[in-house]
Amino acid sequence: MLLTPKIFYKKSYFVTALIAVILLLSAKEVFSFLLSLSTTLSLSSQKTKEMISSLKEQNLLLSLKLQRFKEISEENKRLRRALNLIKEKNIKIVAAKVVSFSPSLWESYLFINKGLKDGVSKNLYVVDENGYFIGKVISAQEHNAKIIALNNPNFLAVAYTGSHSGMLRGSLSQRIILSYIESRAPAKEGDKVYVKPPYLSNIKFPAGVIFGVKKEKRGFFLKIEVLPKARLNNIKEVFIIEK
Amino acid sequence: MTIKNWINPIKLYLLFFIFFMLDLIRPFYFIHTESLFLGVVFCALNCPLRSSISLAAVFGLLKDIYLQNNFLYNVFIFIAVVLLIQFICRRLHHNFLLVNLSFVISSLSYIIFNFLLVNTFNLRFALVFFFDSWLFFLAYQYFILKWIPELSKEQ
Repeated sequence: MLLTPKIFYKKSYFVTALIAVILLLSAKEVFSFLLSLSTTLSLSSQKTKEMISSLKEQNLLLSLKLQRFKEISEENKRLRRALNLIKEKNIKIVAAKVVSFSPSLWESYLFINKGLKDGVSKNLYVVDENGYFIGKVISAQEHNAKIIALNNPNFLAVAYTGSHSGMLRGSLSQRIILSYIESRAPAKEGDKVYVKPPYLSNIKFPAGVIFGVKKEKRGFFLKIEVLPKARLNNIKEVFIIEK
Repeated sequence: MTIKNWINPIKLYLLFFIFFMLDLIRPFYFIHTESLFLGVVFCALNCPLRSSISLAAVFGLLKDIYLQNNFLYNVFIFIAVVLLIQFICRRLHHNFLLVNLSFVISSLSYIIFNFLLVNTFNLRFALVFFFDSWLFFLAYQYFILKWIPELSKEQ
């Protein structure tokens, strides 16, 4: 007992020393073990990275699909509303997609993917899925057509408020103008303005709501500002009312 | 002020085509500006007269054909804008103030011309168009010069 060094009296020192001796003796094995451990770890991290990137790709793909489904469901809703419109009014319509808008802000036109081949011809009235008046077809080719929108300053159509008729004229502002309504007409703010396609008997389509009424000082007519019902800037589908 | 690299005219034509498509599709329908017009102003400020006029004529013609115009209004107005800007630029030193001054004069003439064309006037529309266009012109100028840096070096 006297020969043993003092260091071995403490248990922890003894254990540490023992481990050190074992490690020194089996350095080769320990090294190979550590090497294999690091390889396994790096491999697993690479796999994780690959998995993350593939999951990211999947996520992007799924979000795109979701976006597409949302668009399809919205389109479906719009088309259902259009179907209701057909039933309600007992009319024939041609559904068309808006391919592009006019490249000039001063002239509001819509270009659609249906033309003469689909029964679209000049002067047909165009509405949105709710039946709100959008404009008229001004020219049609074989597979496409051009629509003049309600907010084009060159737009003109006969419109009605109550039993009085006037001329609906487009303007560059949010509001369009209803002119040539007799000054004795009881038109007031909130009254509905509608159009009747001349080729259909007695079928009305709402065009807008009266926003303001002014009496011309020396004239016989009222100057009426109308707020269009259809959202003219963001149209995706239009419905052309057939004869 | 010459575009030495043949890549740059291609980049410019591609850019103008993107501008034209942006005007057709209008992804930001709430912004009242015409990208093609802004492109013409940018080109007139940063490119030589001949290439500016050719770009203005080609894309003005494309716009007129698309709108099925009987008269080539857009060819005329785009070339007029290029000539106006080049006229101002030759008399004054090219700096930030001149760029903005040229934009203001050209956009005002564009607005007046278009109002005369549709035979109507709307102050609110004119103001919205003017300020939206100004903002987007500065943004386009910044990004295009980053994409085609040779243009800024040639000034």
